[in-house]
Amino acid sequence: MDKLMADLKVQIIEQLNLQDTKPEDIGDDQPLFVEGLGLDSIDALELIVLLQQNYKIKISNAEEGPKVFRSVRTMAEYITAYQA
Amino acid sequence: MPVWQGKSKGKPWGYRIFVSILSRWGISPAYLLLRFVAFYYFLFSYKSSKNVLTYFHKKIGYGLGRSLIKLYRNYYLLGQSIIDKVVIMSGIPNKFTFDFDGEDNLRKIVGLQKGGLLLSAHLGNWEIAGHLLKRLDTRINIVMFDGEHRQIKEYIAEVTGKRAVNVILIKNDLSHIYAISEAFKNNELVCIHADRFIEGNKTLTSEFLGGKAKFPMGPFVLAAKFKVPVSFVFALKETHLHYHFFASEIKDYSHLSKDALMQQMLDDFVIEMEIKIKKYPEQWYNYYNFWQ
Repeated sequence: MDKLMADLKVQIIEQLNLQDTKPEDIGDDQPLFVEGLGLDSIDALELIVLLQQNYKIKISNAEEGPKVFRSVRTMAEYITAYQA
Repeated sequence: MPVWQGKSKGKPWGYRIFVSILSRWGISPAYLLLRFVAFYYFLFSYKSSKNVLTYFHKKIGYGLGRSLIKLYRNYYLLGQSIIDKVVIMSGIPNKFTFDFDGEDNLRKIVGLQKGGLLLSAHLGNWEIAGHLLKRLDTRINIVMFDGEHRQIKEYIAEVTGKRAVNVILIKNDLSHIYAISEAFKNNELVCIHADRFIEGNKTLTSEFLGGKAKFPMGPFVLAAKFKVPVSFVFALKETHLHYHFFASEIKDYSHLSKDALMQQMLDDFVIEMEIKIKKYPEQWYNYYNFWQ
């Protein structure tokens, strides 16, 4: 799980082009949107595509999305559960 | 500086009066009443009028007198487009006729089985076209801001009955992103207006009618990320009872990087929009300073 979260942080920074952010700046449980890392709807789109391209996971359920993308940990948990 | 706030003008009781006239006496009396309503907006909507006047005078190049007449026509035609939408979508008997240019392009998109993105603008009224394109045999989704007056939306939905198009509302919970993703997965068409943005959202810039203007980045990110075919679509009113629909050819942007793709697609979209604006300048319905 720790390895997956570390990978995700690198991928998020790369995909969203967060030039001033380092992986260690993103907390495992830090909220990704609004009050946390401050991501917006365009970034959400990037994250959806990231899961599709890197993990072959398609999220299309509107209710599921916000739960999955709450933090790096929730993303990792979702990927782990999906791949199990 | 005034920017678009995500809300449209009008009151639910105003819509009720129009619908009541439409269902009892038809379109002509409704258009007649509309002349007075348009004149009211012409006289008293100072903020929006100022921006539209500037558009006619500085961007289209009309003299001041002609710009004033066009300003009134602009409000009148906007009202007509709403009335027409209600008439067509609710099945009130009418004599509207339609021309489609490029319907084949939309068929091609559906044939590719990847879903498709239709980029439109607040120019004319594409929602009517979406309603009439049931024959494409796929669902058409229209993405709209949730900030529009809910009561008006609910009332229009009540009057027009079940829509042929599905509306995806842009919400703070980002649910629209998942809905759009799902629509593409099901090979549906998603129509987004690519001309307005809300303050704080990410934008791209392009040269538009002789000045730099900002456009929302979202629709272009969708195209770049989901790699779906794109067509630029517009529906313009040509006479009281005739609409002309346009859908551009699909262009291949796959050789470009993400940023270059978005900029090129925006520039192409703006060129297409300018062609339509120059032909139908009165049907530009953006009531804020576009070139700030």
